[in-house]
Amino acid sequence: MNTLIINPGPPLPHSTLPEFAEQKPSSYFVPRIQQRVPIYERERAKASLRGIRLLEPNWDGYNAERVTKAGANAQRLFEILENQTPGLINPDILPTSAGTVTMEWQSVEGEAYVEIGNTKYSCFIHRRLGQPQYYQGDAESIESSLLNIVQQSIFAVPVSNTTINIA
Amino acid sequence: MADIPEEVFAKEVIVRAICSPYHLKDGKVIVAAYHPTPETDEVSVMRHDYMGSDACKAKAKELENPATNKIYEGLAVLSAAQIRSAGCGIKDSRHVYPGHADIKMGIIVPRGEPPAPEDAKLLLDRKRRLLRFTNYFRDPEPQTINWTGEKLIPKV
Repeated sequence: MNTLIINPGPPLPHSTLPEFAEQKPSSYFVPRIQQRVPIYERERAKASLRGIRLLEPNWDGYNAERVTKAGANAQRLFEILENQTPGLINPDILPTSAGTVTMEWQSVEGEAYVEIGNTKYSCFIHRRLGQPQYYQGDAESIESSLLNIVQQSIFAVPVSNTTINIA
Repeated sequence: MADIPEEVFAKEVIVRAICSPYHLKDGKVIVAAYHPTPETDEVSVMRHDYMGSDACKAKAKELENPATNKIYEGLAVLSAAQIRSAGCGIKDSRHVYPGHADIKMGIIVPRGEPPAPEDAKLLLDRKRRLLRFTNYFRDPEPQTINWTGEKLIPKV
């Protein structure tokens, strides 16, 4: 029987640095959900939402509705996202011709979709290996708990799969 | 324009006008291009076999509205068979103008409100399937009257 011998090579440089070796992993590994999204990305999304609120009737040429009220509700949800779930990345934000605003997140874990109207919202979260979960309610009283579910469902990272932050 | 049968045949070439900024992202068509008109399940399209490329472009350019920054960019092409295999229907709607048709998404979108979440998912899935079939032709000369781009054919 042939045996494959793998040469592990020389020790990695960091193992020779006592300062590094003495650090606890938690000093170097920060779960993605605790990382903050750059301010300029948040500002760009907020500018997009402001633009959506200003759309005139028939903005798509196919008799689209204005998005003023739904846009305000979407802005409020985005403020909740920014202030209470700082690790949640920006969604793709789009107006629909029905006068609603959609927010979509995608990750390797699955997808989440929130559509916000003048008075109601609809949401589904579909993990790659599961059945979709459906949520709906009053658009003016969406709470951060919905965004927490989005974050935990498709962006939560187990401790063993954390990201290395060297800087 | 040729006599147009009411039936939309499987091999027919169907065209959807694409405008920026809300139908495109980074030059690619996005699902928003296939969102139905409020209080209907319908997405307006054109029957290319009977209208031809130039008339399709002329109708598409009518949607432009520089005042609201809505700019005609090109034409998205599907076959009727592809539309049906995406789980949608297609029907002639000559009352709009001869050659007009509607993709029937099967989910009526309320005005100003989202559909129920189960319907929202179904609609998004169908829009994505349409998008996968879409052959998008960016207009090389959007200012001109006639279509000067590549031949408008569905994705194989």
